[in-house]
Amino acid sequence: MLPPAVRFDFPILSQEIHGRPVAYLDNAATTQKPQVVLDAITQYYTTSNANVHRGIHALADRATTAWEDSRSVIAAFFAARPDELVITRNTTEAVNGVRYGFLDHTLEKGDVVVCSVLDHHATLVTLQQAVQAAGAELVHLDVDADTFQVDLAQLEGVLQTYTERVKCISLTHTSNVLGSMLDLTRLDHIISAIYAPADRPKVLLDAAQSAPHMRLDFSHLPVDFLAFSGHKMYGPMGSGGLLVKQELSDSDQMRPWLFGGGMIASVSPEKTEFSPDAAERFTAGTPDVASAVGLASACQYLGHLGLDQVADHLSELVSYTVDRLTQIPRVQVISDPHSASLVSFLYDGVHAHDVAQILDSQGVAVRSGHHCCMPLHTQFGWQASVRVSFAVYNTKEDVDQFVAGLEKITQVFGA
Amino acid sequence: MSDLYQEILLSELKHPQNHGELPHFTHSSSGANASCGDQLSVQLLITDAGVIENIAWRGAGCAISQATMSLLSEHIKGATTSQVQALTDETLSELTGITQIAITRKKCLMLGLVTLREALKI
Ligand SMILES: Cc1ncc(COP(=O)(O)O)c(C=O)c1O
Repeated sequence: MLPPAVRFDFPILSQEIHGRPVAYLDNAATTQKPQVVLDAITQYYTTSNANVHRGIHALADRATTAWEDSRSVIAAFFAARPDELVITRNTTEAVNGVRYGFLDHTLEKGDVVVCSVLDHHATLVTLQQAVQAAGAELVHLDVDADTFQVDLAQLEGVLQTYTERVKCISLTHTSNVLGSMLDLTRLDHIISAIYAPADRPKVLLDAAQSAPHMRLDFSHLPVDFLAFSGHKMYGPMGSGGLLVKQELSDSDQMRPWLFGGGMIASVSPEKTEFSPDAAERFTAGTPDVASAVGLASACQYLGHLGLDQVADHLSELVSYTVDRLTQIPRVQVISDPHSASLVSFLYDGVHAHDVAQILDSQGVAVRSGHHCCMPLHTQFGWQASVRVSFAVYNTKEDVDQFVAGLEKITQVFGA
Repeated sequence: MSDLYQEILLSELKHPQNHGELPHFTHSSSGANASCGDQLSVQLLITDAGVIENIAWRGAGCAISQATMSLLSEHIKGATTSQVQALTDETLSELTGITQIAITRKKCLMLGLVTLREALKI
């Protein structure tokens, strides 16, 4: 496990909530930010702020360097090229980029987009809009209740049936409710067996929940788009990104979806030629340099801790939690017991919000509700569920405080 | 949390008042909080004079939303529709004893009243 001192890197965690040390277990929603990230942002504003790419003066140089350097660090974190990275505010905005920049002029009537029942609304709702606009169809892969896995055999059938009509496969790398991990190798085998390399449907990977604790090598991943949220990996709120494979972003299949200053090569009153540089072409207007600086600092922080160590740390907390929860008769764990970073559960007879409220009174922050996955909850007949999700600063003491908090529920609601 | 889960709400949960359905009703509506999944549906029997003669409700959701609906249903029996329309947040605080509620739970407290107002619109 990571050293307990990691907690001291996060100033927000030194406070008490309702008279107790805060056990922050809502990390899948957003993580806390280490002091180095906060310092990097302050440092940027106190020494280097100006607009980028626009001024010939020292501060503009510094701001431009900060922006470019941050982009390189973030791209390198994903083993991607800097010009494969579009900085966005979050995963949702990244997915919308796929819609406006790719799907909107690719999908035709009768085409098919594949997604799954466990997808987050960030992708599901966006894809629904895209297919509705085009008269295309959205096919939802089922989720196996025992393995927590998306049914890839069903995908095989769908691809065989609709072959060239399938334009995009959008899947979630790690489910934010079940914690299960998509088998990308198998996905790739299935696609490769059916399509010639040039005819493959484009694959969008929602990596919001895997990026914080997995080494993702974009150059080797069998995906065309990868969306992530910087704020879920210790970066500032309002930071995230979309990775687009270079062959795709340089092709006419991928077009700018935001227009304005900074993304152009030349402009006449009637028409505009866009910048040939993808990094510029997909960044219209003044970017949020400070957020990019903060996210780059977060990537370095994670690199410093070591992603393998981070993954070990989280998975040990998951097994410890699952062990403790299975001893509580009224608790039913509904997530993959081997999940990388989270545990979801139901508490018999008490609504998820009431569970969360009582845990809050004990200084424990958890998430309750449908976690932006209504179709999954409906399919499995859960009105709402409770989720604990871990980060580098969590300890077994946090889990103990959480489990002790659960005992309070019996006191309030009766046995 | 101190005053959130007191006896009054918990006993209300165990023995909800006016829970079920009415054989005859004149007004009805359902409400839900999309973000958390709380659901309520109400049926009202209202006389020509605008008096609420009977009410029944069903629902699923957290303790706050369900217990408040139960208390509210008993509170408005015999009242006029204009009296119901005049009910405010303060009425709910008085009924439930909840004087302080986190911003994220406010809609749980309000769902019953919102659903009732909706029913009266028709
Ligand atoms: C799997 C998954 N996808 C997408 C999102 C959306 O992320 P954001 O709200 O940062 O856009 C989340 C988190 O909320 C998530 O867990």
